[in-house]
Amino acid sequence: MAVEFTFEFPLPLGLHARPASFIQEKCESFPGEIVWENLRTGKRAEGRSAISLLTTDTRQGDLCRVVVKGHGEKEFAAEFQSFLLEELPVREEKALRLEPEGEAIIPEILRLQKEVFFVGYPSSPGIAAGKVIHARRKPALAKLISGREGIAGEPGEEISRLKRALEVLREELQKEISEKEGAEKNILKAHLSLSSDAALLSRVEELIRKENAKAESAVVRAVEEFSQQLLQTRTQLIRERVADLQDLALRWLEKMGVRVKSGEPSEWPEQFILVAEDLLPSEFLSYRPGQLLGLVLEKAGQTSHTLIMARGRGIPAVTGVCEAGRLISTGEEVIIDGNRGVVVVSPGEETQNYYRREVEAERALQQIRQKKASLPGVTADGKKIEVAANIGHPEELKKAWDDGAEAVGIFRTELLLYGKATLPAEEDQFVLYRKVAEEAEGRPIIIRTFDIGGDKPIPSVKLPEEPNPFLGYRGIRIYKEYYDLFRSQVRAILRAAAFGNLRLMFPMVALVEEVIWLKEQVKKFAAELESEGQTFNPALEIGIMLEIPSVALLADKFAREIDFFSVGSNDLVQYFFAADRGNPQVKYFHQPLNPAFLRLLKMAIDNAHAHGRWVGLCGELAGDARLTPVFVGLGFDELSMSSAFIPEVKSVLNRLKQSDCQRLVERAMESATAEENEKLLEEFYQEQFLPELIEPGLVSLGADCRSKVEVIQKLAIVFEQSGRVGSRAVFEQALWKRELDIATEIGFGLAIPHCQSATVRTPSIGVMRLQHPVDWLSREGQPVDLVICLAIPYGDKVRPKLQLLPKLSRKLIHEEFREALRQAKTPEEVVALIKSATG
Amino acid sequence: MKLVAVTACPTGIAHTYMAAEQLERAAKKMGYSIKVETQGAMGIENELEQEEINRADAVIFAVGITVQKPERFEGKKIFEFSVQEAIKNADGILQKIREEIGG
Repeated sequence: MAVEFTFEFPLPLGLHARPASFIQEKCESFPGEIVWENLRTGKRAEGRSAISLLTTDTRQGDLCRVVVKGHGEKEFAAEFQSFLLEELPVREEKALRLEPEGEAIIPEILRLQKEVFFVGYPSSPGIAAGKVIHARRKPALAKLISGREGIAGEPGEEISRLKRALEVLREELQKEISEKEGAEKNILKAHLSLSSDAALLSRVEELIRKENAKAESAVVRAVEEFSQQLLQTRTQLIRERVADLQDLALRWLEKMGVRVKSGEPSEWPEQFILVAEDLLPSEFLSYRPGQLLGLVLEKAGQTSHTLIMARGRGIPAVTGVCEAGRLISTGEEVIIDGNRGVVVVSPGEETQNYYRREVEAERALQQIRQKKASLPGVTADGKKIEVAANIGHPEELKKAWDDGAEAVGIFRTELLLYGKATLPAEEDQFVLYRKVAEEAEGRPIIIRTFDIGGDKPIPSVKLPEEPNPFLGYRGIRIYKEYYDLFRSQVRAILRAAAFGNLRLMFPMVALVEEVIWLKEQVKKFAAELESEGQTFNPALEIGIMLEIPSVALLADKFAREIDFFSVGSNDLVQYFFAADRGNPQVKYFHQPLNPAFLRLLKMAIDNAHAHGRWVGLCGELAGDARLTPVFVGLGFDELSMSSAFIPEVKSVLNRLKQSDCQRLVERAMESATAEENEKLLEEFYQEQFLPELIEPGLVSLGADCRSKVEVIQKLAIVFEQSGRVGSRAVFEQALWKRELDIATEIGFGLAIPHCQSATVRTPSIGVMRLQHPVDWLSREGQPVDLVICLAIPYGDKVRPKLQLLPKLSRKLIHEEFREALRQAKTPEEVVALIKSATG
Repeated sequence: MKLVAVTACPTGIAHTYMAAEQLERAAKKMGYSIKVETQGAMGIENELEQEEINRADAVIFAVGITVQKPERFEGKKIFEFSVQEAIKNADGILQKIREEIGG
């Protein structure tokens, strides 16, 4: 006798690792036999084996049959059914809620092509493809036991050896589970449930009995077999289970006396993509330029110094990719999409083509950028604002000038200390700073003295571990203890200042008396140099970082002591809102547009100006061109950023009027929330930059696109290049979202992809005539050869223009109009037709 | 025959208006009077008066989302279609309505 029931699998993500282990756990409470059959895939599994359950490739809505056999089958079948349909979905929902929501954009092609991909935060823009290397590598299983295959003992002996090792391992795991919390605990629990997986254990025993395998090699073979099977399903959640399985096998082998140590770093390829849990700036800098193609990090956080450097060097990075180290193998080909926050593993041809087009688009954008880079740093009404670059190494100077930097707003000298066992001598520093001063050819360079501590530990300065380093012993606070370090650097800067336009800046100042002390020391060092007969410049400008709120509130007093301020926005925001910038759980507080923060800046800048001092901004924020009007309105005299952002900021700056920006900031300071100010800024853009609905650049006659994916991608690229949308990735996603509601193919060979999205800056119309009709993936499946793309932003200001779009839509119903569009010979003709239709 | 209609789709900038245009065109061809209210990104336009609804022989919804102010149509005979259908086959829709209510 047996009892069976059929049900529809309820979980939205299908049967993946987590629910599979819940099911296994449930089935273990029943002594009889439980067979699971997926009626769609025809695959069967044993209920007590999570691994075999995973191989059934069960998705939401699949009809599954469960057969229960053994003592108490009727009761258990009923219990199991209600577990599957009621308890399991609740547990799954709970688990999903715990996973942080990403900001990633998943390009539709990855779903259409069923790619395996991982999602994280887009942390450094750009696209890279290459082979994966792990920063800390795990040994391959097969390698571990090579040379240990040997001759097996009695099967019975081997099996008891195996089981003893497993017992020890299980005890160890249980102990660890009781000590750990959160994600780590869950992983260990998964390992524990795997260690009693019925299918795995019976396969290992079978290999020993039937093939006379040694216990170690039986474990490796069984695990490899199951891993292969699981990887075939190409579901990314299942990769988690493969990684668990490999981890478990490693520990199991260890318990049988196999020495498990990290693999030797064999020959690394010329270029690679690095996968790591986290990467220290020193590790980042240890790679040769050009060697590192891209970064995949498990830890999140947009503003760590490694990422700032990655952005500076144009190396794409995706962070917050949970367990990337376990889930992506060495040597695998991946594509990193640093614009969207996605990592694609072993991409197929269509996806590779898609990314080739993305890379081309990046290149074209680059050319547009270069034009913008050559603009002067000045507003439309003549207010000069110095647009400068942030650098960490003299190597970066050339790129900075190429990107259009007019100065260096901050040279973060502590980056010179990373990876060095000893502190640099004054003479070495002098040679380096002098080189920088000379290479700048008169352009000003702000050298910030060493900012050590916090998130920037360096090997040559041993600072005590502290629970809260950001609020602790760092920056100038350590200068009294490390006086020689401070002295040699300031002396080197004073000497180098004789060879160019250097400025001196101190980090982490909180009190006026600190500045007084610093100035006394500078005077003392100058006197020393004087008496030694050295060449130096005693008149260089001295400034401080404005990164602690106390400086902002007391700017008038500080202004008497120094020549300039430079706002370190990341630290100022984090100190102001009491929210760690590296902690993804409090990322929400990173609110530069919050009116409280704007008021703070305005007050500081006004007070500085009243005393004839200038104020710059050298934090990451300065590079966000969307915020440029706010910074102009606040009265910043200088904006310094990763040089990659300079062209866009200059281009926006050139179109702004200072008076308009001041009005914007006055209103923004009266808001209550950052969100309100986001809206204000949006409206400001609409008022300032009001182009026509369509221009010839948005018309493409005879486009060579082979698929709907390509058409939508090209539209997104063209819109971005015209400056009408901020991010082609976001725009593309918005178009696809509408397509997935219902495809916008409307018959007559016409499709009207459209969207309303915050990334659209102004209502716009694009037209694309296709050489070859493409399948629009609509229900009726009619091919499309004419595509009209409508893009609209949010906000009331665009209303008058918005009203023109319905006119066009109505007109498109008429065959004469469509025919005219199809016959038009030039983009200008199309533009004229559209204008007449919307006029 | 006197008709009133409402068109509405998720984004409300393209299909809403195409469907409206198609229905107006088909009605004109068949000699019916029609008034089409659009519920789109600009809100309700060409809004139907209660009187007009009361007088209508039939109400057409060509919608992909829920109709706003539905209480106006209580007790009326409503023919509901997708927006797509109205764009692609407005003639067929009117044909079908004629068969059902005669006229």
